[in-house]
Amino acid sequence: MLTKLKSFYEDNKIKWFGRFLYYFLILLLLFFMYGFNDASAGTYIYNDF
Amino acid sequence: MTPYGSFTFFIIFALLLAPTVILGLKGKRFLAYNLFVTVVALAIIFAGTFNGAFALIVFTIWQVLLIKGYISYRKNKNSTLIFCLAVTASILPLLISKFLPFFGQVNWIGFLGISYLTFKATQLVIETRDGLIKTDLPIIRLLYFILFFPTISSGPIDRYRRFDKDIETAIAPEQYKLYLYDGINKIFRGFLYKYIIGYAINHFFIANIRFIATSDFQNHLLYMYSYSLYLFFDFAGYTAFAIGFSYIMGIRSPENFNKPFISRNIKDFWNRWHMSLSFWFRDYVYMRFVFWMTKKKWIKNRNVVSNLGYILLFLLMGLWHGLEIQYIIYGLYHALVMVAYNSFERFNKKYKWWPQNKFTHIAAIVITFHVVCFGFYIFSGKLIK
Repeated sequence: MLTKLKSFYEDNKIKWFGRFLYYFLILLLLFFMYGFNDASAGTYIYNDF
Repeated sequence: MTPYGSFTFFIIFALLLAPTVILGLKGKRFLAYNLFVTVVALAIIFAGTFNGAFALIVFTIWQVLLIKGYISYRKNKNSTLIFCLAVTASILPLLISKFLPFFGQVNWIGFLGISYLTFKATQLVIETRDGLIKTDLPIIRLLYFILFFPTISSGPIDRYRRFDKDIETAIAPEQYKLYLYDGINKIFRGFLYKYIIGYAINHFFIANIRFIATSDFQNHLLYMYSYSLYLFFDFAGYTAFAIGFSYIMGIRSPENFNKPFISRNIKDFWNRWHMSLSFWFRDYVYMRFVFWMTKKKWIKNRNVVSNLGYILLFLLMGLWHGLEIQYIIYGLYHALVMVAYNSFERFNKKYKWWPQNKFTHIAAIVITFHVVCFGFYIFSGKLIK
């Protein structure tokens, strides 16, 4: 079972799909949060130092 | 324009770095083009602040003259006094920029990234003294190292010899594909950390904490945890962008974070949090202090020397953040925690009081997490206010 699961996760197509989903979800969330506006996530805390 | 501060920044740099990517994928050298991008990037970043741009130019000339001068001096002589003067001169602009606001003066010398540029420049002086840099540094490479734009505002703090090796190495197309893939992956991680998680914590939780908390104590407790997470996602997000851009430009800038919230103790934490800064302080403050004290034999007890080294390191690190009281207390707090842990580690080595098993491992992570979060709570300034 564990070997099957391991080979499933090591499959290149699965890896590619996982990555695609990861990037796609980030883009989707960015779109939902900011729409077509420029970001207003604020400056970085460490830029002050 | 703040680096990585808006989507416009990313669009501009996606266009600017497109030729770098094409050249990299074709296996051609792109140093000349990257130098051109760096100049354009600096112009974009400092476009809105004439004072900042002027201060950056003066600062760079000052540091380059200092480094070049010290390298040529060191070829024949090695006076400790001259070395101390060179280090002082190197950190002088940073010191002035930290003191001016404290005395209510206009900070005419400060600009975005002055701290991180100072760390790089001072490192070159120290490594020249140690004999690690012997030959004259080509001016273009020196400027490229100091002003490398992806890491200009908040690091990570790279080392010259490592950086130079990356410039020297010819990158094959297959290798560059991996760099590009890693770079894009890190940039997406940056978006996830800074623009999604960090933004959500700050705007939806921290901003509404007074409505969520039912008591003053709960308010402070929730703030402590949420601010710690916000600080991590904000800074780790920035770092992911900076390293991602560096990779696309063929430079493997060092990592700054390695899952800091699963640290087993405070020493482990400082090997995982803001690593390039803590390693800088370890190499150029702590190690030098310990070496100096051992050589002079002023204090013979090695544990006392080590603890004094930690106190010096964390006090300086606290002061570097600013002269405000919360940063000094933050430095002192970490110094005390480190000294306490150092003593505990020695005690435990002798008496085996804290066994090593899965349960104690998890308990150590939970304890360290809370100790660290309390440190960030001090750092935030809310405790003092």
